[in-house]
Formats: sequence, structure tokens, C-alpha cells
Amino acid sequence: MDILTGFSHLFANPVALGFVVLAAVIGVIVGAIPGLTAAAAIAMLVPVTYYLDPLTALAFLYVIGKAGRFGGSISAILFNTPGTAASAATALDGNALTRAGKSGKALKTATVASVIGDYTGDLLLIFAAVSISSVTETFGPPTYFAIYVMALIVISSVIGDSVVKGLLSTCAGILVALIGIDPISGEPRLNFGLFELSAGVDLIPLLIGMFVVSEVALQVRDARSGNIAAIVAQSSDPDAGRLTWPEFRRCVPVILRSSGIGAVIGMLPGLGSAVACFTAYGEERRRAKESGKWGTGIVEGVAAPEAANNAVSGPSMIPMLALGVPGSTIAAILLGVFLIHGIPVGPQIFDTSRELVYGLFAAGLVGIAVYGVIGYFFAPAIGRMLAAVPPRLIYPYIFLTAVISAYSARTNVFDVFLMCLAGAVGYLMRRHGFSPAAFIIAFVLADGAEESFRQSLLLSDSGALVFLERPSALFFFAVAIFVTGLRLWSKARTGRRVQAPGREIGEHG
Amino acid sequence: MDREIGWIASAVFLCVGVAFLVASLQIPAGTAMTLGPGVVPTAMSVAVIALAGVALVLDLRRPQPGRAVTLRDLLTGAVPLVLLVAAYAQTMVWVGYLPATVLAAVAAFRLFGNPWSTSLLHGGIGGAAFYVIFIRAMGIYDPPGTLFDSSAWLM
Repeated sequence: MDILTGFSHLFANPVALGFVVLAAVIGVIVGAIPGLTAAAAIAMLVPVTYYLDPLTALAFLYVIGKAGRFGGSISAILFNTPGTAASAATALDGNALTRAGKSGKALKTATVASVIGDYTGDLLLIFAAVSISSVTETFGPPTYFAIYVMALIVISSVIGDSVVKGLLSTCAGILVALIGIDPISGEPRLNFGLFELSAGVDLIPLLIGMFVVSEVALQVRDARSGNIAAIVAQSSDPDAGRLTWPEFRRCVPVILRSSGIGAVIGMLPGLGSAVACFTAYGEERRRAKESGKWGTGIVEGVAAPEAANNAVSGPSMIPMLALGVPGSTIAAILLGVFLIHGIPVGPQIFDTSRELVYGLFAAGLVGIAVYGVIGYFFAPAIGRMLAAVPPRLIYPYIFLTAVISAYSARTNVFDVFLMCLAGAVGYLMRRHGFSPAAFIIAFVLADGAEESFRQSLLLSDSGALVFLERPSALFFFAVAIFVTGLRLWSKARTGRRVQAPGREIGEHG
Repeated sequence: MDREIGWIASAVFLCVGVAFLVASLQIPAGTAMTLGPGVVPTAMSVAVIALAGVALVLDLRRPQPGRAVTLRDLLTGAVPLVLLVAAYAQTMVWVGYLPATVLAAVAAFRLFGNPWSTSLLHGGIGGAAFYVIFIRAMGIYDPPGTLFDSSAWLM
């Protein structure tokens, strides 16, 4: 089986294995810091991976994303300050358990649910990606253009409060991506007379500015106010610090159903962990015999969102690997890393870089086990460490890291100015219902979309009608129209969309 | 100072769209059969302007109380940080990585409300640590300062 080849490829590379373990540690800690997402951490650490081989680089970032999803549960459970939007659902019952003196039980439940959910998602990834790729390999430029349009429209319409602002974020991302050189004629365009823009805008400073600098700007006032408040409570229950066997048995069906929900939602571009978590939480609460107990501190209330949260991770890679279209921020960053290492992404990747892809899958499976061990035994210690270090000491170091990461992308100080500008724009976007995630995904997709559009017209005698002559292209256009129509209808029906508090949906990836 | 200026993001996008449209119109559009490099930028610029206009009207007509940024938010949070990043970058151009980083680190710790003693301590140690890790250990290029070349002095 190819996955066994992947394991042998991974274990033959001790550096890659070491970075997988390091990634699990970094991801859990970063995910636990309120406000700092795994996507932001990955953005800052991409330049570090320039010096690594492709497997090590990709495995490092991929496992940070997985561990970061779990890490958000630590601050949600212990401090009621979710590290990620997805963890807000975990905080409902998780923090209630902490207040009852059962934080250990909550953390262990979160760990077990996350690990099972993540493995479920990765199994779907390993078996579905290849199957889908065998179909998408036959697609030509018109169908690829339709896929890009579908992804851009779907992402812009489902992320965030407003369809208009989602579309605007997407179009703005495409516009910025057009700076540099025309992909067909090779002529310079939109560089505004600046030499530094002649090769276009680099993804890394844009990413770091939009996600990290904007977050640091958001934290400037809040971080001055003091430490994260640690809740200290005691319980007389001898099992307060552990997940008992009867509790685990009760959670198993919850975890499996929630994992399924998370895996399916993860495959769909743009929806992300927060949608999966709240959908799973709501569904399990609806099915529960004693739904009134949900939110008061029950282990099932922690298991459902955590399983769904981590089940998103693997399947979110399917659109990128099978279609070359990233469906999440983290996938968009990984796409960029693939390209930095000279590996074209799309269905052909299973032919050209099969060993690398399966090595990456294997790294994900190993990484899940590592963060599972860290979470089960050390999560309370991580929580205590976070409570002891005030945010006003953490965020300046994050600021310094962001600057050197942006600079090191092309060893060009201009990129730091670019990061600064992106940070300002990202701050305004996040405060006003726009979507930096949609912007970044559109930025990554724009070149491919324009190239496939213009190639389609060049290769066809029927002009723009070529897109209507391909049934596969029509299918993807129809999906885009359907999803957008559904969203607009849903919005009109309910009046306003219920959104996870604190952070925009889809940002975490 | 506490007046909400929630429309500002849409206004920024509107201005960006106009700037890109002006630049796009100077690029050849090609013909109907062979599209030139100017077609997609022009189309996207028009889309951004139209959507930004709609978003601006919606923001002005239906402000979101409590969520929109105020002038105070900008002046006490985002603006100082953005200016700090820009100053850090320019200082790096003038004097190289290490001095710029130490100065920026001290300023960053102060911006986050740390006392001077903490800011100086962490700024000095943090700046030096970042220099050792990223410039010396990882080999990232230390830009030679145009006013004072600290990279040559440290080598």
C-alpha cells in the first residue's frame, strides 16, 4: 500500500521525523495562545522551511496546523478564551467542567476526541484524494477555470457575515495577485512604477501582515490589561482529573458522528473548523436524550466539537491535492510551499510526487499521535505556563518574529513595508466583517484562474462559448450558482447569519 | 474620538479599486479573440469599485454598533503598531538588523504596556537572541546599513 511507502519515506528521513515532533509541540502551544491561530504560526514559519527538504518543510507546517487545531481547546477549557473560533464551541462545556474542578477530565476528553477525529479525517484524505484525482486528471483549461470560479465564489459567499464583503475580499485578493508579470505575454503590469513589484507581491509578507500583524494590532489594547485569568477550582470527585471508561464509551458514538460531520465539511472549500464544530455540537445536542444538560459541563459537549474540529484537517487538503484548489487558509499556505519547492500541485501530483504526498500523509498520522501524547499528559502544564506569562510579554516577541519572517522571504526590506501595509488592511478587514482568508485564497488562486481562462480562449475557436461546451465545466459553474443561491436564500430567510464569536469563520483553515 | 468610522474599510477598497483601474487602463487590452494583459485587471478593478461602493453604502446606512472601529481604536492600537513596523523597516535600512531590532523590540514592549525596565531588558535580550538565531544560525542576510553598517562591524 502506498501509505506504507509513505511511512518508510518518512522514517528514512530522521530530520523530517524530528520536525514532525517539533511541529506538534509548536502547534499545541501556538494554538493555545488566544488570538494566535495555526494559520498565523504557519505563515511566520514558512521562511524557516526554505532551508529544508520538501517533505520536512511540508510535514512541519502540516502538523503545526493539526496540532494548532487541538491547541485552541486548552485555552477554551481552562480560561474560557478560545485560542481559535472553532474552540468557542468547546468552551461551552469545557470551561463549565473547569469551573467544577474537572479541567483534567475536560482536557483528556478533548485530546481523545481530537485524535480520533483527526485520524478519521486523514483516512478519508488518504483514500478519497487519489480516487478524485483519477477523475480530475482528465480536465482541461475550461474545466479548471470553472473549478477556480466555483472555489472563489463558494469561498466568498460562505465566509463571513456578508456576501458582498466576501466577494469584495475575493476580488481584492485577485487584483493584488495580478501585480507583476502577465502570465501569457510576459509583459509587466500594475507595478505602479516600483521595481520591487515587478515580480509581483510575495505571498509570505502578505500572509503575515493579514493574519499576524493584524492580530497583534487587535491585541495591543487588550494585552495591556493583564494576564489571562486562570480558574482555580477543586472537586471532591476522585475521577475529576481523568476520563473514565464509562464516560469514554458514552463519547464514542458522539465522536464518530462528529468526526463524520467534520470530515464532510472539511472537504468543502471555505467552510472550515468553526462551521464543523458548531454543526456537530448542535446536532449532538439535538440528538441527546438530556439536551438540557449540554452547556452545563458534560464530556460529550467537549467531545463533539473537538472531534469535528480536527476531522476537518485532512479532508481540507482534498480540494488542493485533487483539483489544485485550496479550500482553506492553511491549504493555501501549503500550496504556496509546494510551489516554492518546485512541486506543481493538482491531480498529477500523485504521478509526479507520489512518495512525497504519501510521506506527508504519514507525517500527519505520526503528528496526530505526538500531539495526542502531549495533550493527554501535558495540557494542564501548558495551560499553567500560559497563565503565568502575560500576553503583553508574548505579543512583542510575535511581532519581532513576524518582521524577520517577512524579511527573510526574499531578504528584502520592501517586504516588511508590504507586510506593514497588509497588516493595516487586514486589521480594518477583520474589524468590519471582511475576510482575510477569502483574500488570501483568492490571491493564491488568481494566477491559475487567469491562465486557464486565457488558455481556454486561445485554444478554442468558439471564444467564451468554450466554457458552455464542456459538461464538466458547466457542472462546476452550476455548483457555484447553487451554493451562492442557497446562501443568499438562507440569509434572506433568517435575517442574519449566526456566527461563532470572536473570530471569522474559515480563518483558522 | 469614539465616533464609529465603520465605513473606512470599504472606502479603502474603493480607493484601491480606483487606483488599480487607472493603472489597468494603461495596459493593452488586446482583441476579442486574443485578450491582452489589461482585460482581467480592468474587469477586476471595476468589480472591486462596484462592490466597494455597495459595501460603503451598506456601512453608512446600517452601521454595526459596538463592532465598528473608532478613531480611538485606530490611534491607540493599530496606528502605533503599523508606524512601529514601518519605522523598524526603515531603521533596518539605515543601520542594519541588530540595532533596528533592539530599538523596535524596546518600543514594542512599551507599546504593550510593559514598564521601561522590562522593555529594556526584554528588548535587549530579545533583539540579541533574534540576531543570533536568525542572522547567525540560520544565515539570513543582514542588510548593510546605509548610515551605519552594523553588519560589517559585527562580523
